[in-house]
Amino acid sequence: MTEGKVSAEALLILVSLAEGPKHGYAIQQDIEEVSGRRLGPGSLYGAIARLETARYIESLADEGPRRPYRLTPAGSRALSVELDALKKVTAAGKRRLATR
Amino acid sequence: MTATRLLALYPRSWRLRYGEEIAALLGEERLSLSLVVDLILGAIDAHLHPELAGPVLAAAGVGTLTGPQGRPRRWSLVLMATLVVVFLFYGGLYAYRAQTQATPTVPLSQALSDVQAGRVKSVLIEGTRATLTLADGTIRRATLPDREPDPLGHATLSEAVTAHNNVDPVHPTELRFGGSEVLNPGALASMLVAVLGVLLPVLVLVTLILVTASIISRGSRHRRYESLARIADLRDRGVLTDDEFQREKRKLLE
Repeated sequence: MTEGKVSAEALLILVSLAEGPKHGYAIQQDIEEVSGRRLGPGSLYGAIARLETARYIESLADEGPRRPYRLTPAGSRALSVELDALKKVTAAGKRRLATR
Repeated sequence: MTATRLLALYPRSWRLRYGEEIAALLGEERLSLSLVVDLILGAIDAHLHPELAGPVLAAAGVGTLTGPQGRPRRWSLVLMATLVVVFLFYGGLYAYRAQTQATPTVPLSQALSDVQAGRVKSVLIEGTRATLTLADGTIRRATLPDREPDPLGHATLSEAVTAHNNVDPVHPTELRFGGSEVLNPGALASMLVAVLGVLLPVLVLVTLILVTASIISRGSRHRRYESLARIADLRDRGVLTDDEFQREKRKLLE
């Protein structure tokens, strides 16, 4: 993942972890609750691996299968940038829909 | 079979790093199509990006670096290749069925008039089924009224061929009687060509992807491991302090 480029799955994970550290299952549940989208384990951990490599998230002490992840400061910044960008897109979309 | 078995498709480094967590996520979940697709795509992604599972090496220490990493990896590639072959098999089967269904079946009266008009190159009669190869190469099927004792269909078609050959000996129609499911060589060849035509590009593409993925991952890993061995050696000889070694190692594995 290059700086500033976050996939849709990664964005959902960042949003989920903004609430506090969570392990994989909790992330999956939270994302389903927030977005209605159920991420399969393959796509979930694909995104987690990328976020970890980008140092946007980090795993807390090795707790085996229930290893929790948390947002790093860089991850918070990236999330904030992404959300601002999304806000612009949302605003533009709504404006254009209204003037149709 | 539980979904956890599919984790074998992932490269070893991934399984070391995330295997336990993904297994916990899967629990005893039964295989569903979406789950299989998700895990297969995830495994392909993991093979293409082995560097993403990098941090585990730093966490696990150098000991695991020199471990036998090749075998399980190759094994999971074989498993993936097997899956691909299975998919291709079904693809081939589908292509084959599409091909055989493409041969139109015509009424017997039409077959008879084709023979009488001299448009038919050869007729193959197998039980109640007649396969007509026309002069322009197209193949048609006709169903004869009943099994052999019935003289109506069987005899009429072969009689029509004989009659035509008497009238027009220059362009005779070849008449053959076959076993129940004998394919004539021409149809078999064109079917094979069709099946190969479908399979070959896919096969080449898949092979290319797998080979590229394995070359990329092996190459970059080997290079990194060689560098690691070198800096470990430098540390052992006291050239690098332990802190410096750790920093270099982290840089290498990122």
